[in-house]
Amino acid sequence: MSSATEKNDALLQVNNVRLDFHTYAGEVKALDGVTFLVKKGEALGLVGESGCGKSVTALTIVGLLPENASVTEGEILLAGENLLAMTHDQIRKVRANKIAMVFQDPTTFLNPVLTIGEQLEEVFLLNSERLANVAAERKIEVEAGKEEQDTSGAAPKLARSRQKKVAKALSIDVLSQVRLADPERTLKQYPHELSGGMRQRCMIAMALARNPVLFIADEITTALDVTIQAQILELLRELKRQLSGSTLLITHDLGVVAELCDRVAVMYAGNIIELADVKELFANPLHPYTQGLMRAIPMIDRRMERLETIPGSVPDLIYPPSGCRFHPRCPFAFEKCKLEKPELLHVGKGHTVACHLYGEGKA
Amino acid sequence: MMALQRPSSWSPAIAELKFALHLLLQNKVVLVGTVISVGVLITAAIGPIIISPEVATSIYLPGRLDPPSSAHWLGTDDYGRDLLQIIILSTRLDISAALIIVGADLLIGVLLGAFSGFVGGKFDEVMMRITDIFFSIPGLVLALAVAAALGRGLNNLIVAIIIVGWPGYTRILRGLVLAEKERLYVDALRSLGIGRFRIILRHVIPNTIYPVLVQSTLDLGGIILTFAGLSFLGFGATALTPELGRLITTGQSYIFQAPWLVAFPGLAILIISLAFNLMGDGIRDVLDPRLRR
Amino acid sequence: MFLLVFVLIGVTMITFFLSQVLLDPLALYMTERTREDAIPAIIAYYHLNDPWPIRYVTYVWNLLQGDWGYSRSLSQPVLVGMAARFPATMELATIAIIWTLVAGIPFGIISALKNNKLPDHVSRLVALTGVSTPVFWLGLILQLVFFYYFYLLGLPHLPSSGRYDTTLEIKNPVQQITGFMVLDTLLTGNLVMFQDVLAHLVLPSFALGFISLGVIMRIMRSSMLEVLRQDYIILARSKGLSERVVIYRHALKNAMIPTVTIAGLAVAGLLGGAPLTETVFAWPGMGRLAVNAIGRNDAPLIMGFTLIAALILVSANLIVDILYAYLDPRIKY
Repeated sequence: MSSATEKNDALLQVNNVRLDFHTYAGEVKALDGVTFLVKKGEALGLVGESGCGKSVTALTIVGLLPENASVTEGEILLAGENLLAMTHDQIRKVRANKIAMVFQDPTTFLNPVLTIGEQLEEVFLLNSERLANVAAERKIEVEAGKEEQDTSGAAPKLARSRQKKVAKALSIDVLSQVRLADPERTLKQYPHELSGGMRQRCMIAMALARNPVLFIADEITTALDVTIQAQILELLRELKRQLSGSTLLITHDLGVVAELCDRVAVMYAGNIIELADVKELFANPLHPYTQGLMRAIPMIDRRMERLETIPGSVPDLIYPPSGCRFHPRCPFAFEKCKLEKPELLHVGKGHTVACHLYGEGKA
Repeated sequence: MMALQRPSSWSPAIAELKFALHLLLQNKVVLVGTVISVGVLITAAIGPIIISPEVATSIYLPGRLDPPSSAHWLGTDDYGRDLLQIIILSTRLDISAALIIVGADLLIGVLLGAFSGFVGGKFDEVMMRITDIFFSIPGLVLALAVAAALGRGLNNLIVAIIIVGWPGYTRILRGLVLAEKERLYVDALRSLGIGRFRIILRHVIPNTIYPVLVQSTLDLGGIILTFAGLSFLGFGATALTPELGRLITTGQSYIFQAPWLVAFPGLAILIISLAFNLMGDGIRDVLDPRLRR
Repeated sequence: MFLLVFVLIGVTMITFFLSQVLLDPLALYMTERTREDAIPAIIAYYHLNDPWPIRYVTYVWNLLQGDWGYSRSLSQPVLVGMAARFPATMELATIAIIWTLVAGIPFGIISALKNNKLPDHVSRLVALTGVSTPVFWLGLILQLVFFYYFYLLGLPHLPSSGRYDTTLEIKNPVQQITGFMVLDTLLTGNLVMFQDVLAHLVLPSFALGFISLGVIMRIMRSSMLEVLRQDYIILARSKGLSERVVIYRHALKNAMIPTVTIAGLAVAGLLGGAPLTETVFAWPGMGRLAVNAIGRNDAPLIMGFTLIAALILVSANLIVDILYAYLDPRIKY
């Protein structure tokens, strides 16, 4: 596959993004030239240990970085438009219409004093054009069932109350789409009245409500019980079949990636270090860090004395290691690794890796 | 998140201390408050030494109500006394009254709060209901009622304000003690056969008292206002006793004729109270990790 | 509700202790016309020689019946004297709390959004001076400037004392309906007096509210800052909502929760400030009445004021609890 055609079917291109956090203790070099792309309609998994910059990458894409963060280099192109160069208002519109994000903890991310309905309907109310279209479409439906009680179709009332009605109807649709049993009731409930799994479904519904071209899921099963996790994953699988948009799935769980993703990008200390199709990566992990991750997955069919771990710990990103950021933990490190940062290198079949072991035709 | 990491090369305690100092020095307003507070305390202490207390009782009627001039920087009052000297003499009474009140409230509040939290049960329940009652009467109104019942006089006024103030400390300390008594060292001490009272006085109180002390610094400013206010209404000091609230009562009769008689003593109260508030505010900010960012 | 009854029992115990144990219990119920030979009858009627529990029950029973004792400085029963001055105090306190909330909440929000910029410094300064200013002194200075100096300079000046201009009222009599003069003048369409009443309210309500202004502002600021750091604000932003919607729809209601609590506490401050402010501005309310009673050793009146102040504060806290439940769906009573 040539890189030209790859660019053509790319939805999102993240090119060489560098990002620092200004803290009291110093500059945290959180992203160190992150580069990857998400193709139209695919699900890309972004994996790595906590603190490696996965979530920061997602927040950079949607323009929701905390105040002490600044992007020093790079660009993020969504269908050719640079998100990093946009004004606040432009990026806000992108969030409203194109990129939707679901977060880790449904308990803290839902507003405790607003009902699910209030938090969901406001998403639809942002797009008055779509509301008008839906209203026109459904008017027939409303009038068909008019015998019952609905008077809004007959007398053209205030535009706003009409919009709210349509938004409510759409909210019920989307709540059923995420398999909530009683959407009408859920709309009137407050987050604390729902279970964790239901809350996460509501947050997913808020993302689906925007009909996004890119759906970003940031560790969305981490805060849930194991059984609930399975249900949410099942829902994601189902949604993936129905939806046309792309997905960026952020997780530290390679199992989740294997089930849901088409391609995987592995991240370490602010760098993408390996990128490949799911099957290829699992069959043939090249980067020593990826190989370590694979060995750390507990397998039922493989008997082990103890679970393997990667020796060493996540580096201090205020004073990151020179050269390849993984070299202090790498069993194969040699002199060059300490001096020179490895570039992402094409090693065939859409597989790229950033490691000096595979440079200069070694692979 | 890594944005919150501090350099691992420092030991946590030293890093913490450095950070607190850094915050304290960074805040110049707090520094100013602390400097003024110390200045006020010194003035109150040495006032009667540098200015003869007889100034307060030496009446010179021909020179009464003189406006501020080079001879009398802040003018003279209705007895012909130099207002600046009188204000300096007055600070001693206001400051010492406030310190006595806060000190007594701390003692009562801390002891009751510590026992309430540590002993728990019925005693705790009763103490908390008593504080509820005190919180349902506006402080100054209750102080006024108690002072009225006790009769006029400086000591009665001080007692009245003390009676109003302790429940706040009791509440704070009780909460802290409730958390503290769950800690392992308390069980350890108990298993060694050390008595309750000893554990409370020697171990629990010293470990929980700092937030209450910070609160008391913050309260000093308010206590000064309450004391001066009730004094203004006619409780406490007699006419010739140098006291700031009292000075304003006298000045009130001459408000349009000699406005400095009201303006300067009031300004003195404002500055003293402000200084204590600035200092208390700063200390709380530095000690409260939630407010740091 | 249980707590309410409990607290009121406690408050009456305090006033009972003060007026019947510390002071002469007879003083509460004697009038200036009481003859020596009537005293045994009074003692018997109020059970003044009986054991304390009986005396206390009798005391509370009489309070409930409306017998709050007799004020010799007013030559009236305490409750009658208090009732006549209740609206004046309430009107002043209400106006004071309204303006503090109306000014304090928006300014608190602004200083949170402009954290550590100019508006924030101003609000911090106002807050610190607010809690450090002697209210009686502020009242006098306001009079000096806005009444006296403005008058000297020939500027339109504000009245310095009283609730209304008595000579003006002779020509435009105000009919008493609610006792709140702002409402009464409006209801009867008496615009001349309405303006006059408002003008009289400006300085005292400013002085009275100034203490609470800073407190409300700062708590609004800090709770707003706290709320804006919450995860649900990130979600709200990620939905593409405008910053206005994020702040006023998602953050404000959450941030109001602590502010309402503090506003309830501020009522205590207002009631405490009432005796001082009313004295300085010759405001014909309950606080000034209580202060005048001090000079005349009229303890029954002071106890009456204490009881009413407690009643008002307890009611204010009840309102706070109701608002709380409205603001925070997690709380149910």
